[in-house]
Amino acid sequence: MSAVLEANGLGKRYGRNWALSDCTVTIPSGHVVGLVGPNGAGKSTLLNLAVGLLKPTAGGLEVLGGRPSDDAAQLGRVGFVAQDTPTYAALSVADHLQMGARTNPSWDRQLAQGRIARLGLDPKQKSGKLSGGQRAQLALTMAVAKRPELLLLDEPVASLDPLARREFLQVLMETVAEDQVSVVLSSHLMADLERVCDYLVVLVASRVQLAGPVDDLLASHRRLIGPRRDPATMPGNQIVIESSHTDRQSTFTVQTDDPILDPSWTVEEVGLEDLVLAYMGQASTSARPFRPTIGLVQ
Amino acid sequence: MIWLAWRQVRTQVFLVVGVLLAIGVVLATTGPHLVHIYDTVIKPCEAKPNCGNVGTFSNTDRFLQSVSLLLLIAPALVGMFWGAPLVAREFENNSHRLIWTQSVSRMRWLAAKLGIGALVTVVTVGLLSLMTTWWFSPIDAFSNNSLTPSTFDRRDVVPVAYALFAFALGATAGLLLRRTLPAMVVTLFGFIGLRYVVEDYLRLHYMTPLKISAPFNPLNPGLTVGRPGGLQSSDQVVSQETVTGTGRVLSQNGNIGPTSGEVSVSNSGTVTLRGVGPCQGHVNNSLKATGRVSQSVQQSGSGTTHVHARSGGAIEQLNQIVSACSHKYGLRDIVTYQPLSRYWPFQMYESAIFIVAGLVLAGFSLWWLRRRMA
Repeated sequence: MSAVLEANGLGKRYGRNWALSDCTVTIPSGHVVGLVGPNGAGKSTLLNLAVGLLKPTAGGLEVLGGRPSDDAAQLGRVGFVAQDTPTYAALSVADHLQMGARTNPSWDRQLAQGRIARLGLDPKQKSGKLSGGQRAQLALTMAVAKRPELLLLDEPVASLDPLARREFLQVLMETVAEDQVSVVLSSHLMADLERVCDYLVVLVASRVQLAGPVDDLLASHRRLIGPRRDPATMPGNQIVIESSHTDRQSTFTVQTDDPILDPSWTVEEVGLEDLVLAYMGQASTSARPFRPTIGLVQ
Repeated sequence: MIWLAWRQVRTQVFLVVGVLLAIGVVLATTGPHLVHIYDTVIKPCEAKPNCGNVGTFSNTDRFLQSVSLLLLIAPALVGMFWGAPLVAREFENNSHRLIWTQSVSRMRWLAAKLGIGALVTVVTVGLLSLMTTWWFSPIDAFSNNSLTPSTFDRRDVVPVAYALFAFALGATAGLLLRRTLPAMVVTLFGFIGLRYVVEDYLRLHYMTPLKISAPFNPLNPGLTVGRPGGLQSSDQVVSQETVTGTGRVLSQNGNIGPTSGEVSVSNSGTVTLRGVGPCQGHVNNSLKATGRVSQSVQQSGSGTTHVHARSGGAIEQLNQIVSACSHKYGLRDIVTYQPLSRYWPFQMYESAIFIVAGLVLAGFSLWWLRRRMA
C-alpha cells in the first residue's frame, strides 16, 4: 500500500512562531482519513503544505510521490477544498464550472454539471448569494470534477449548520464510493468525522499523537474500571493513555495489543470520540508528548 | 486563464468604457466650438504682426481645467483601483486558495491577470488621452507650450505609460502587502514619487539642452522671448545664467540690471556692479540730487518703463554706464533650453522610463510569486 502523503520532520514557521514543527506522518492511500486536532494544532498548515500553497520551512513532504509545488501536473493530481470554502462571490455557479474547465485539463464537465443539477443549484446564481452549505458543495464539486487522485478538505464543514454538514459529508461519501479517490479531511470535532473516516490521524501541537486505521485503533484500546490502583504498577504491555480516580476506583484508558487477563478489571470498549479526547488530553497535560508506536502500515 | 482574468474585470471595464463614452460625447460637442474660435479669431490675428494678446479660452477655463485634471489623475486611479486590488483582493477573499489549487501555475495566473489588466489600461487610458489631446489641439496650437509640465504629461502617449506603471506598481504592492487599502496608499505615493522625480530631475535632460548666449544687456536682462536670436515662447528653459568674462557665474536667473538692485550708485555718483567691480563714468550730479536715480535703482522688480518715465535722462545715463561696464567685464547671458521640436522624442523617452519601470515591477512580481511565496 503506497502513501498519499508522507511528511518527515516537516515544519512551517511564520516569523518566530512555528505553525507546524517536526511533523512526521505517513498517510496510506485508499482511505478516507480524518485529520483531527484542536484549533492551532497545525492541521490547516499541513494541508496547505500538502497542496503547495505553503512552502515548508523545514523537513520533507511528498504527496502522491511528488513534491507539492506550483506545477500544473502536480496540482492536477490533488483536489483541494480550502477552509471556509472560498469562491468568487461575483461569479456565478456556471462561471465557476467554466473556470474549472479552463484551468484543469482533466476536468469532467459531465460530472460537474450533473452534480450541480443534483444539488439543485441554479447555474446562474452568483456564488456570493449561495448559502454556506451550497457554497461548500460548489467548492467540493470544483475539487472533485478535476478528477484528482487525492482530495484534501480543510475543515470543510466547520462553518455549516448540522443539516448542511450531514448533506456535505453524504455527498463526499458518494464521491469516494464512485471514484475510489483517497481523501484527507480535517476537523477539530471528532463527531464530524466519525461517520466517514476509516483512518485517523490525531495532531496535537504539530505532533502526531495517534495514527492508524479506525478499526485497529478501536481494537487496540480498552477502558478498564476497577479498584483504585497506581498507573505506574500497570503491566508493560498496557500503555496508560488517560487515567481518572475516585477514592476507591480507578478508570484507565489503555492501549494494548494483548487481551486483558486481570479479572479485577471491568473491560469496556472505547468510542472513537472518547479515544481522541483521551489523546488530546494527554498531550495537553504532559510536558513532553508521549508518542505511542502503533503500526501505521499493515 | 485569460478567460478568468477577463471575466473578473469585465464588469468594471464596461462601466469605465461607458463613462469614457459619456466624456467623449461632451468633448465631441464642445471641441468643434474651440476649433471655431481658433480658426476665426486666433489664427487670423496671429497671421498679422503685432497681434498682441487676443485673450485666452477663458470662457471655458473651469471646464478646461477639469478635462486636463482628468488625464492627470486617470493613471493614479488605474493604479489604485485596478492594480492594487488585482492580487490583494484574492488574498482578502481567500480565493487565491481556490485558483492556486487548479491545474495552473501561479506564474501563468498572474501573467494572465497582468496581461489583461495592461491591455485594458492601454485601451481605456489611450482612448481618454486620444480624446483629450484632440480636444485640446486648438488650445495647444495657440499656447504653444507642449513642453511645459502640465501639458506635456497630459497629452498623447505618456499618460498611457504612467497608467501602465501605476497598474504594475499597484499589483506588486497588493502582492507584497496582501491588503487592498495599504496597497492603494503605497501605489498613490509611489506613483506620485516617480512622476515627481522624472518631471523635476530627469525630463529636461533626456537630450543635451541647446545653448544660446549673448552679451549681457542691462536694458533687457536674459535672452528674453521674442528678441532676435532669443528664445521662442515654446522653448522650455533648462537653465539661465549670467557669467563674467572669466567664467564666474554671477546669477542663475539673469536678474542683473539697473532695476534689480545689483547696481549701486554712490553719493558721489560712481556706479558699481555688485560682485563684479566699479564702472567708468558717473551719474550726473544734478539729476542725482533730485533723488530720482537712487530711487529708481531701489525700485527693483517694478519694471523699467515705470522707472524710465519718472526719471527721464537719469535712467538712460545709468544704462549707458552699466552697458559699457558689462562690456568691459565681458558679461554674458547663457541660456540652455529644450526646443519644441523635441516633443515627440521626449514623449518616447518618458514613456519608455515608465513602461520599463512597470515591466521591472511585473517581472519582480512573477519572480516573487514563484520563489518567495509558496
